[in-house]
Formats: sequence, structure tokens, C-alpha cells
Amino acid sequence: MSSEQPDRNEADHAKSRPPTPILEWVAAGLGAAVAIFIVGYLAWDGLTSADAPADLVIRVDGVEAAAAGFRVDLTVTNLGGETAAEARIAVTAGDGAQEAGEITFDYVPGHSSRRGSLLFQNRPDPAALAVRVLGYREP
Amino acid sequence: MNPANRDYALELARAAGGAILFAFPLLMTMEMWWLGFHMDRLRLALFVGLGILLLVGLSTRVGFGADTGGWHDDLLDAFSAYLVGVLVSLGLLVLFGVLHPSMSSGEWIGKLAVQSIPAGIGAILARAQFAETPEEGQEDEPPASYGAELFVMLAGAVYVAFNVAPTDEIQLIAHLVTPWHAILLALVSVLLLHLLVYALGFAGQEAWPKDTGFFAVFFRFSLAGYGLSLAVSFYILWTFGRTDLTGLAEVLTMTVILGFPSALGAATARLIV
Repeated sequence: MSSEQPDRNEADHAKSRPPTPILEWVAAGLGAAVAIFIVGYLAWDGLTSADAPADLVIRVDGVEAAAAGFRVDLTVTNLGGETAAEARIAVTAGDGAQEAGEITFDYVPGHSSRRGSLLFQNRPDPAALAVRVLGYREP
Repeated sequence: MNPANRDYALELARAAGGAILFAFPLLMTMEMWWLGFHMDRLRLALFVGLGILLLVGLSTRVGFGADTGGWHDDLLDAFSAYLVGVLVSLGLLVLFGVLHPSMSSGEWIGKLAVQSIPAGIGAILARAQFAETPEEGQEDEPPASYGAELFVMLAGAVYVAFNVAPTDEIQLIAHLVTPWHAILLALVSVLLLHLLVYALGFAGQEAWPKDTGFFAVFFRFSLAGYGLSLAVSFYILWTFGRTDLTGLAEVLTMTVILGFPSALGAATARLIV
């Protein structure tokens, strides 16, 4: 907090400029446009799709050799509007080995994707991987 | 570039500095990023709309344009401050890796929207705090109307409450306290609001209104300010979805707990603005 403001008199403030600088109009105009866009977008989103329930689909991006076994890369996409919190996803290698793993995504926002990986001891057959969403909760 | 424009560019840069200083704690709070995508879209739209009204009101009190005169100038100031708030939030969130091209447009806009208002408030307050030539001292101005005093307290309550409201601690404290704690906290909040403004001799301390007794001042300003603080707390909790599916006792406890920082904000704003 500043200590003390020196006393200023009216005369000191007499340098008021009648015409508004063009830059002020530009900044304010852009600000108004941004404000209208943000409020408009949110309202439109809220009234149309935002409260559609979360709907998760999982894509296996690939299986790669890693230092500690084999890495299965996943992308989770939420097709719904609401956010899925603590989304748990289970992956089972389809062959006889029956190796399985589970991963939790803290948040998958609506219409958004998140990526993650699971590690397996033996190379799983990408075509035979069984992927399943166990569940999620509202944030 | 003509001098008026150059001066205004400097004002904008100063506003950006203020926005960064006031908003960086929120920009670095992960709950705020999460709220950006999971809070209710319509409540967020309403919050941004009300926040812009708040900016307009604040700019009538401080403003950051060089010439603080006329309502159209206040309107211009408010929207420029909002632009500065959005740009500062955008820049820092991208720099922190919180916003990423792979994210959906809804996530980008939500994360920006929730940060833009506190950053915009910072942009406006930069004028009050860091302006090179202070406007003539508040002493010289006609005393602010009662409504204006209440408005300033409201703005301060919103800003400070907003800084803690997104954290989980509000809910956690509500679980830790007994109703007696909550009542005591409410009393402490009112007392602090009163003492900070009138008794402790901070710079900018309000002069005791002439010919007014203790109770009149206490009721008209301190208690009214606390009422506003509680209303602000409840509104922010509702906006963030903290009141949904929650029992009345829990909601009231959270409101009182958030009312503590709100009251501090209301008091501080009267000292600053």
C-alpha cells in the first residue's frame, strides 16, 4: 500500500483531453467483441449440448516396446457435454495370458480427449485388446 | 503515433501489469483450470456478464483511462480492462501449458472465461494502485454516496472471495468446524471488517462520518458490508456448483467460511479504492 499521496489540486488535473484516443476505441471495441463472443459461446453451449451426459470412447493408439515391458497407448474421448471425473478404464489382453491393467483419468472434459498409457509384461496383440470404461463420476 | 495514443498504450501496459499481479495466483490454481471446463456453462456465462457490470462500476470509481469523466468513458475503460484481462489470462495459461492446441474450443473458452474477470479487476485496480500521477486525493472529492460505498465493498468481496473459493479447503473447513466455530467466525468477520476500515489507522482509512454514532456507522457500513460479503459468498459457491445436492446446514457453513475472506476483501477495497 502506498504511503501517502501528495495533495493535488484541480489545476493539476486540467490536462484532460477532450477527444478519446483512437487506441482506446480499438481496445474497448475488441474487449466488447471478446466479451460478447465468450458470453455468447458459453450460453449457446449451455443451451445446446453442454448438459449431454458424458460418453467415453477409447481408442488404442498403439503398442510399443518400453524399458519396462510393453506400453499400450490410449486416447479417451468424451463425446458428451458433461465432464467425466475419475474415469476408470480397464484393458485386458485378449489372448490366453489374460494380462490386465487399469488406469484412471482425473478429468475428461466434454468434447475433449485425454491420453494415457498402460504397461504390460508380454507384448499384447493390439487387435485382441479388450478395452472397457469401468465408470466415472460427476466432478 | 500521436501522444494521446502513446499515453493510452502505456495505460494498457500498466493495466496488463496489474492484471498479472492480481490474477497470477488464480492462473496458477489447478481448481480454476478444472472449473473452466466442468462448471455449468450458463452459470459461467452469467458470471462473466455480471463481472463485466462490476468492471463498469469499478471504472466509474477508479477507471484506468487518463480521463475519468463521463459514462461512455467508463464503459470504454471497462471493456479495455476486460480485453487486457482476457489477453493476460490467455498468454499465461498458454505459457503454463494449461491451454494446449489439442484441447477443444469449449475448454479454451471456459478456462479463459473463469479467469478473465479477476484479471480484468486487476487491470482496473492497477490504475488505483500504480498510476504514475495519482488522481487528486480522495479527500478532495465529494464523499462517495452510500450506494457507491456498498458497491466498492461488493467488488472487494468478489475479488478476494474468488481467490479462495475454487479451492477444496472451503469444503474441508466446513467439515472440520462445529456450528459454534461458524458463529464465532461470523462475529470475527464483522469485527475485522469494522476495525480494518475505521479503527486501525491504515493508509486510506475512512473518516468517521460526521454526527454519526457508533451504532449508525456499524449498522450502515460494517454490518451492511458483512451482509454483502455473505451474499457474494453464496453467489460464488452457487456459481462454482458447490451448493448443488448439498444440505442447507453445509451450504450455510460454507457461506460463513467464505464470508471471512469476503469481509476482508470488502474492508480492503474501502481502503484501496
